[in-house]
Order: sequence, then structure tokens, then C-alpha cells
Amino acid sequence: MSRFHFRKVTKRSQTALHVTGTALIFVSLMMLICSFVELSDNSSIYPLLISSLICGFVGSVARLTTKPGAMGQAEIFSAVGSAYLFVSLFGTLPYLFAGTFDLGNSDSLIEFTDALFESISGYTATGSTVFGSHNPIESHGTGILLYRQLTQWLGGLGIVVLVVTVLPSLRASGLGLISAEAPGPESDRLAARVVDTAREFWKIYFVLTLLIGIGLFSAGMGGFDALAHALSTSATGGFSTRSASIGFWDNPAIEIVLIFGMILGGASFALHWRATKERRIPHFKDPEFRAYIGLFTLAAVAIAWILSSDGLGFGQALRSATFNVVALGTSSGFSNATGDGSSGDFAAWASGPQAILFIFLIFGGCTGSTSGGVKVFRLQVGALHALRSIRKFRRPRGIFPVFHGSKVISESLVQRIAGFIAVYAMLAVSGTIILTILDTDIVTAASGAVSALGNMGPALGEAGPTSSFAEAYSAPSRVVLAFFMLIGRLEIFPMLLMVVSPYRVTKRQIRQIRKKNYS
Amino acid sequence: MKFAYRSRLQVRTFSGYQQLPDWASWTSGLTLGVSFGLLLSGILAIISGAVGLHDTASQTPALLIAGSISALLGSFIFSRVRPPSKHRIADIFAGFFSLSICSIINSGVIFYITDSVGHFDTALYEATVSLTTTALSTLDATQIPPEIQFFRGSLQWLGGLIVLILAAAIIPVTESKSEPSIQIERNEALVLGATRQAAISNILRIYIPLTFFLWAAFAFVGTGVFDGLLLAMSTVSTGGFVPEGNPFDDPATQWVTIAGMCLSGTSFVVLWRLASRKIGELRNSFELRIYFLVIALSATILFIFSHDFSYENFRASLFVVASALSTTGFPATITGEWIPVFTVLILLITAIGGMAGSASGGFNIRSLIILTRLSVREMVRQLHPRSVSSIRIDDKSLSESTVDHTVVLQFLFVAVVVITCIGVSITELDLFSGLNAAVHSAATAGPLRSINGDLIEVSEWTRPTRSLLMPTMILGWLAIFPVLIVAGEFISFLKSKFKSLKRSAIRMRSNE
Repeated sequence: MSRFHFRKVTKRSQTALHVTGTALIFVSLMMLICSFVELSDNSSIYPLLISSLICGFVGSVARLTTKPGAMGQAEIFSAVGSAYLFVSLFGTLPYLFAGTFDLGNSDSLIEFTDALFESISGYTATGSTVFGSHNPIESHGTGILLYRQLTQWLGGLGIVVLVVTVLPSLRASGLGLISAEAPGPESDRLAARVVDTAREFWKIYFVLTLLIGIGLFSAGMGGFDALAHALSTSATGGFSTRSASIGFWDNPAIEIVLIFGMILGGASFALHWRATKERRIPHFKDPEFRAYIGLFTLAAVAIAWILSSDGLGFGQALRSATFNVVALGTSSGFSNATGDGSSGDFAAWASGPQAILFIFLIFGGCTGSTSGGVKVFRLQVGALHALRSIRKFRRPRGIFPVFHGSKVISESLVQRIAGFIAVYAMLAVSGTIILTILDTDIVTAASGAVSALGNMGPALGEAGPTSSFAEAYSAPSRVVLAFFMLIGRLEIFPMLLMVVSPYRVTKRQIRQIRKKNYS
Repeated sequence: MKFAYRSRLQVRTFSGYQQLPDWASWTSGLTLGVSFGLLLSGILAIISGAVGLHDTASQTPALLIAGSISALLGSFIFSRVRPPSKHRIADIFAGFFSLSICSIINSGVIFYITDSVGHFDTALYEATVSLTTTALSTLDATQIPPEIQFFRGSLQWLGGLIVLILAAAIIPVTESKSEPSIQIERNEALVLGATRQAAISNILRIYIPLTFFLWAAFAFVGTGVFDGLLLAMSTVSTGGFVPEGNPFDDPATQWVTIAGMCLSGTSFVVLWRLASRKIGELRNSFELRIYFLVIALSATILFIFSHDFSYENFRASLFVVASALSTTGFPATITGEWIPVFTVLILLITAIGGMAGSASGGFNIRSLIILTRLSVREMVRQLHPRSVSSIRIDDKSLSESTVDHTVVLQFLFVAVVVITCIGVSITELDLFSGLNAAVHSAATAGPLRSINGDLIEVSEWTRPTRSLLMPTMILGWLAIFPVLIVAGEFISFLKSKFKSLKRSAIRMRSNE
């Protein structure tokens, strides 16, 4: 019996290793491209090249020595979880080899923590950064900057979705992998074959990135910056090539392009796909998208009104409010602050607008998009479920299905969403407590935990849009935040089950051994 | 003038029996609530007036006159109502809602005419914090006469009783199994009584003696008869108003208060079992164990990390934790160093609150257990999507509707806190103070603490900020659901009225 369990664990490890290996090969290719980009500004290509070779070697060994089998839920979760964990770990190599976070006076452990934080923030498309005035982004090579942007692009739609495009042998398990990685309670199937579904997703993603890039270039951004920002906008990531983020350009046209880009990145990719196939815009018929746009409009107008009543011109207030609401609501996390205390620096706003922004740290975008957070759909179902409960009190024998638009939401999905919201709230509270214990003030701790869990990027308090996470949080706090980013990117359960699974397996084996000894 | 019909669904007319709309029984519940609200607050005002009879410069005449008028008005309305033979749970909620609103308005008027406060909105705020047992008062006990102190103390006592009846007798003891239950499961609540009337009478049989017992205990440790009574009423209702002077400087008073707060935060089902000497059944109560575990653990954290290992600090730590968890809100602070984590911890345990079926506010321990088990079940379901498992507490499976309502309650609680936080942040407060105020209002707890552990003076806040907190206190006090159900009834009432108006307009047009 124990041999059976051993085999099962090995099979799980093999599948997880195979998927992780393939993901590492993609990362290696990405690093290789970036290493050649380093040549453009005469920087050393070796950090990225060596990292690429290491990733390529480890990835190939993992891929060639393993064979993926049919996967159960446990295998799927461990495959997705381990892929993100290892890719993030190997993703630190370019930063470490290039000495990106070696500030001369910092110890190697802090340097590794910063590299890990930046890598996880990239691959989870969070956008929180440890760069800042003490270590300006602009002082690093173009290759490293492009690599940093590409980590977000890869993580935005999902490394595993990319892996599925080249692994037809996964068959039906591929959809499970996509579901485990994709944001939202259910994954859309765009084509009959899972591989085709993954490819369709990537095609849309690529086109969207291209369109944003062209838009940014036309609005006045330089070629490299336009490409870099297009990569992080479509991924709703929020990394920038400038320390002042979008505030560096202080250009309304660029901000408008980014607002549209972020909104499209935070909307369901299935809707974009339908738009291309049916040659019409189905977005406004979707109740989730309508609520998503409605919430942005309402919040932007409310914040602009409050800011203008505090003395800021309404036009400027609306510009700052809209950009920041969309940036946080879509989990992008760009900033249009031109400096500390400027109109775009939401950490310097009155507490009312900050409270509204805090809500957007929880909301996130639509399901099936690249954005993080709880998702509008889940909150809609939560609210509809609450309304249903109230109606049920009034008419105890009535049967009230939960409608989302014209679709009836199944009871099992309602229960899953209720469970998800409960776990999410518990994790957010636990994160706040842990960060407060690690000597962070309460607003920074609470907003940081929620921001990391929702892959949002900036937080409130000391971790505002013009601050660096290296200054706002201690090194142990940054490790906690990085772990929360991973949990949030995979929508909690895969990472948690990855932690819990070995415990469950060990417990089961101990029980088997005990039974055997007893018999 | 008749406010309601004799039967719930049918009324006999000249043309035979006629179907009645739902709102017929709903308005009956509403009117009964109004009459009870006026009657009860009037009686309390009369008793408070009698308390101040010995003092010539007192507010006694104003209290007696206002109390008599409202009691008479309440009795008149009560005599005109013919309650239906059977009320739906929504009608009962409507009654409780109108009772609270009417009591608040009436008490607000009494506070205003007795010159206790300068503005009518502040008077309404004072009435709200009293009835909802919130203890975020703007009044200084040294500045108000004894009769007003007694009036607000007795309002708290009434508020505690109302919420207790609602939580332990009305909501869980449903007429049929199809009616959903929140807080305590139906089977659990049946311990208090098979019918609502029996449960209410058993609650009174514990609530009143417990108040007298605490009064005697306070008097015994030297708090004084009047102050002891005020403290007893405040403790048993988890209210938190403190009489003149600081009685908690005395260690014995502090210990009696700790015991009182721990008992008040306990479910009345537990207290009933204790009173009926069924102690064996209590040993298996998981919720009770968690309740005392939370108290012990939190108090230990406060004691150890405040770096003061004195006996005074131990007692103060226990006092602060018991006060926060039972949502009583007596002001006291530890003697050691206060670190920011303590503020988060206190905020968290205030939001959790005491046991389900107690007078305390907050989210309650039972809901926390259910949510934790739901989270574990969801994790298992991720691995085994088709698995069927129920959530169990004390070896009893909970119905899915209970689990459902707990999740919804969590969702609504968070929504109420968030909306209030935005509101008070816009008007005045910083983000943390806004969140702090919102959580305390929704959990009907006090006092507010700053990051450094200092107590915040609510009287320094602006009137709009305080006014914004009032609806949250009422929502939190009535466990959110009843208020929303009444709102739902009101909307459907308006809808049916609008429909009938539309229909009659069409008919008139067609006749023309």
C-alpha cells in the first residue's frame, strides 16, 4: 500500500517537473532575447546569457527525464504551483548575476530577498517594486529592463497557458491547468482542443500588446519605452522603465492610451475573442463588464469631485482620479504622480478617496483576464447571493436561483465563490497581522497584504505610488508579501494545496504504516 | 382606524373571503413595534424620573412628563392594533426594526428636552449608542445628572435584552424548518424553549437575575448601590457606559466586571444549561472552548508583549480582552507598553465578538468556526470536486442554509464596514480611524483606541461623522439581516402600491 502511495507521489512529481521544465525553457528563451538587447547599450550580456543557459539546462533536464501522465486535481495544482515557484526562483538569476540589487552596503541575503521579490512581483504581474530613489530603475541596462517587463508579460496571461500550447499530450488535463492558473472561478474554452484554446488566448494577448505599443508610440513614447509599457499594460502588471512610472512623461495622451489598454487587459479575454470572431463588440452585453466599467466611472467621478472640492481643478482631478482608479482597479498599478505630493500621488490624497481606492485593491478586474483581485464577477455573485438570502427570509419556501445577466449560476459555483471570498478575507486579515507584527504601520500593512494578494502593485500609507517597497517594508515583510503574491496569482488554492499536500500525503502514509504495524 | 387585519392572508368582506396582500401583516408588525417602542422608552423615562425625585435641580419633571406622554401614546396605538393570528418572520423583523427606530427617536427627544445635549442630532446619536449598546458616547458621566445616567443605562439594558431576544429566541426558533436560521441552529435554540414565547420567558429568567446578581456583586465589592446598578445594567447588556468616577481603579470591581463581561459574551443557551445544571452538555461545546481560548490567548499576548509582568497588568490585559471580545467597551488600558499589534488584535477580536446567541455584537465566534471549516471544505473540494461533506460543530451537521447565511452575514458585515469607512473618511477621519470607527460601530463596541493605545474622544468628531455611524450601529445591533428584510418588504410594498395605482389609472382611462 505504501508503495502505491510512493508511486502516486512520484507520478505527481514527474508531471509537475515536466510542466516546470517546459516553463523554464520558455524563460530561458526570454532571457536569451534580453541578453542580446543588452548589446544595444553596450552593457554586459553575460548575466542574462548565463542565467538563460542555467534555466535552459535545468528546464531541458526536467523535461527530458520526465513524462507527463493523466493528471488529477492534486497533480494539476502541484504542477501549476511548482511552475510558478521554480520560475520565480530561477527568475532571480539575472538580477543576482547583474548585481541589480547590490548597493554596496547591503548583505547578500537582502540582495537575494530583493531579487526574489522583484522576480515574483514580475511573474505574478503584481508590479510592486523594490527599485526607488536609492536604486533608480534607469541606472540599469536595457536588457535587464526588458527582462523585467517580459516577466510580467509572461506571468500576465500565464506561464502554464504558454506551456499548454506546446504540450498537446496533456489533452483534457490541459484545461485543468489553464483553469488552475486563469483568474476567475471558471475557465472559458475557446476552441474544441485545449491546445487551440491556449493558442487563441496567446494570439489575442499578442495583438492587444501590439495595439497598446503602437498607441503609446503614437502618443509620444519612445520605441523601447512603448514596447516595455505595452508588455506590462496588457499583463496589467504595472512595471515601468522609469522610477516615476508614467508620471515621467506627464502626458495626457499616453495616459489615455494606457487607460484603454489597462481596461482591455482587465476585461475577459473570451469577450475579446468573441469580438474578433463575431466582428461586433459583445462587451457591453456582459453584466460583469458593465459593472466593471460602471464601478470605474462612479469611483473616478466621486474621487474627482472630492479632490476638486479640496482645491484641485476638476480637469486635473478627473485625470488623476481616472488614471489611478483604473490602474488599481485593473491591478496594473501604474502611477501618474510627477513627484511626492503631486496630484497623481494618491498616498497624499485625503482619506476619503484613499478609502475608495482601498476598495479597488480588493475588487480587481473581470474573470478570464490578466488582472488580479477578487474579481467583479465573484463580488456580483456574492451580492446577488446576499440578496437571494434576504428574499428567502421573506418567502421561506420560495426557490430563488442566482441570475447573472440571463444566466443561472449553479449552486455549486455559488458555494465555491462563497468559500473563496471567505478564504480570501481570512488571508487578508492574517497578512495584515503578520505584517504588523513585522513592524509595519497598520494602513501600510493592511493595504500591502490586500495589494499583494490581489496582485495590485502599490499600496497605501508608506507604500504609495512614489515609494519603494524596499523602504516601506522590512526584508521579512517583503518575503511575506512575495508569498502572498504567489498565493494571489494562482487564486489561493493551488499554492495552499501545494503546502498542505505533502502534509496530507505524509499523514496518510503514517496512517498506513501504523495500520500495517498493527496488523 | 385599524392598522391591520384580523387574519394574515384572508379577510371577510360582503362578497366573501378576500385575499390580502403581504404587507397587511407587515404593517401590523410595524405598528406593534412602534407601540412597544414608545411604551418601553416611556416607561424607562418614568422610572428614571423617579430615580431623580430626591434631587430638586433634577430633570425629573421633564422625564416624567415625556415618559408619560410616550407611554400613553404607545398604549393607545397598541390598543388599536389587531395583530394577525400568525406573523411571518419578516413581519416580526419589521416589528423589531420599528421598535428600535421608535425607541431611538423617542429617547432622542427625551435627551434633547432634558438639555443633556445641545443638538437634536447629537441627542439621536446618544439614544442610538445607548440602545445599540455601543458605548461610543459623547457625554461625560460627571456632567450629567443621575436620572439621565440611569435613563441611558436602562436604555442599554433594554437594548441588550432586545438583541438577545432577537438572536436567541426570534431568529433561530422558527415556526417551520423551511424558515432559514442564522446565528444559532434551530435545534440548539430549542433548548431555551420550544416556542418563541417560552424562549423569551427563559431569557428573561436569566437576564434579570444575572443583572441583580451582578448588582449585588458590585455592591458587595464597594462600588455603591447606584453605581453598582448602572455597572450591572451596562455589563449584562454588553453596553459599556461607565458611571461617574472610575470604578475600575478598584481590583475587586475589575474582577467582577471581567466575570460579568465573560458571562454576557456567552451564549444564553450555555447560560440556560448552566442554570439548569446541565454542565455535562457544556463540556462538548466547541464554541465555548474557542471563546475562552480566544480570551486566554489574546490576554496572554497582551500580557507578555507589553513587557510588564505585574499582577495589575495581567488583570488589565484580561479586562481589555474581555471588554473587546464581549463588545462591552469599558475603558481601561494595560499598565505595560502598548504596541501597534495590540490595536490590530483588539480590532480583530472586537469584529469577531462573543458567542452566537449572546447580547454581544460583532461577527460572533460560531460564524468564525463555520467560516474556517468552510475554507477547509473548499480546499478539500478543490482536490475532490464531487465530494459531499457537511460542516459539523459539536458532532452535529449544520444545514447548508445556516452555512449560507453565515457567509452572507460575513459579506454584508464587511460591506457595511467598508461603506461606513468610506463615509467617515470622506467627512473627517483618517483611514485607520475610519476603519476603527466602522468596525466598532458595526460590532456595537467601544471604546476606540488609537495606534498608540490611547482612548479616542468621540465628542471631538464632527456631527456628520457621528450621524454616519448611527445606521451602522443599528445594522450591527440587529445583525444586519432584519433591517435589510424590512427594507425589502418596504420596497415590495411600494412596488405593489405603484402597480395598483397604475392599474387603476389604466382602468380609469379605459372607462373614459
